[in-house]
Amino acid sequence: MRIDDMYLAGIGVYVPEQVSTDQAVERGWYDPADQEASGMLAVTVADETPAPDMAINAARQAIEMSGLEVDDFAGLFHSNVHYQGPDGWSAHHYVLRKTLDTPVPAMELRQGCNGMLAGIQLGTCYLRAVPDRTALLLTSGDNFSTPAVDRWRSSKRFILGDGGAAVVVAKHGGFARIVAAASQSNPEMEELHRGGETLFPPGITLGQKMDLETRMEYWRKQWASGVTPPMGHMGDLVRGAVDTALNDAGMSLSDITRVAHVHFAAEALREMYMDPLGIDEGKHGTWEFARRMGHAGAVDAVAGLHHLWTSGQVGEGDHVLLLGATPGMEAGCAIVEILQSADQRTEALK
Amino acid sequence: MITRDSVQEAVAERLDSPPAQIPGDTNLVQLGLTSLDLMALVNGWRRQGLPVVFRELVREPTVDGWWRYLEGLQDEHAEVSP
Repeated sequence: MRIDDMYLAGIGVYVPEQVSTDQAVERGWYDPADQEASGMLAVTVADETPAPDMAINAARQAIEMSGLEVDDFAGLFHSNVHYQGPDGWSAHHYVLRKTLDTPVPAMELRQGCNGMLAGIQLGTCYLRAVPDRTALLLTSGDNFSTPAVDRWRSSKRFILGDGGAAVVVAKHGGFARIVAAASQSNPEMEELHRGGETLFPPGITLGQKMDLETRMEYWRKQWASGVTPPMGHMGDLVRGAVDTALNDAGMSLSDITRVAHVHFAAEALREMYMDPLGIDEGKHGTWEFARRMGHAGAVDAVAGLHHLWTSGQVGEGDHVLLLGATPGMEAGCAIVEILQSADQRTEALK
Repeated sequence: MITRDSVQEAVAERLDSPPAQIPGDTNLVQLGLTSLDLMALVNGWRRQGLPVVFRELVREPTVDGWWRYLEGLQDEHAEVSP
C-alpha cells in the first residue's frame, strides 16, 4: 500500500545489557559450533524486567520525541511474541495506563515478529478511517528469560534477544515519512511451525517449551523418509512483499539506502532475507547491530531503524526498508523516508 | 551454464562431503541436507539466471532429480531467451 500521508513522529528503544556468546559458550548454554556458524557476538538479556515495562520505556521516549499531547492519540497497538505477564491479563492496557493513560482503545496486534510492521499498515488504516484521529502508539516488548523457552537453543536460525521498541505514527509530520508498506504470506507454510505437535491441548499448557528446532527436525525426518514437507523459500515471500512496496512507491531497490531487518544469525539472514533481495547485509543491512542484540521478536526492525538514525548512518532524504517476518509464514515491510537527521533534530530543538 | 557436475559440486559443498560420495539417487536429506541448504542452492542457481521454483526441488531431493529439473528448465529458458 502506498502511504505517504503518515509519519513516524517519535521512536524509542529499550535495549538491555548484553550477554556475549563467548560467555554463553563458556557456561555451556550455547554450542561452540553454533556460535561459529551464527556469527553472533552477543544477545541482550533483560533478566527480571517484565516485557511490557521495556515497551513502556521505549514508548515514553517515542511520545516525548513526538511532541504530541496525550489527547492527540487515538489508540495503542501492542505487539509481542512471548508471554507478557499474568494469563488473562491485558498487557496492552497496562502499557496504555503507564504511558498515555487516556481512555482510547488498546489492543494486542499479534503477528509474530512482524507485529510492529503490521501495525504500520493497520495503523494507517485506523488513522485514515476517522478524520479526527491524529496519532497512534505502536509498542512491542519481549523478555525470553522464562522457563518456557531456551533463548540459545530454540532455533539454529537465531538466538533470542530481549528488548522493547515503540513508534508514534502520526498524520501531521515527523522525522520520517512512511512511503509504503506491504506483506506477502504463504498459508501452506503454517504447518511448518507446528512440526507434528497437536493443536490441543496447547503444548504450553502441558509445560512444554517452545522448541522450534525440534519441530524443524520433525520435518527433516519426514522429508528424509520421502514425505514432501510444507516448505517454501522465505526469500520468495520477502521478495514478493518488498517488490509490492517498491512498486506501490514507484521506487526500485537501488533507491533504498539501508535495510533494518530481522536479527537472524548470519547464514539464515543471508539466504532467507538478504540474498533474495541482492543486498549485502554487512554494507546495507543492520548486521553489526543485529549480531550484538539477537532476535527480539517484533522489536528488531524498529530497533534497527533507531540505531541507523541515532548513529547518523541515515539522514535527510535517505530511504530505509524495514523488513520483518513471522511464522505463518509471512514477510512484511515498510519503506520510510528520513526527513530530518538526528543531528538536524538536535539543532532544531536548541 | 549449470552442468550435472556443478550441481553435484554445489551439493557436496553444502554437505561438506566429497562429490564422489554423493550417489545421484540418494535422498540428500538423509545425508544431512537442510531447508536452509536448499534455499542457499536455489539462490545460487537463480543468480546464474535460472528461475528455479523452490517447491520443485523439495519434491525430489536427489542430485538426479534436481539435475532432471534444472536441465529441463535450462533448455526451456534457452528457447525463450534470445
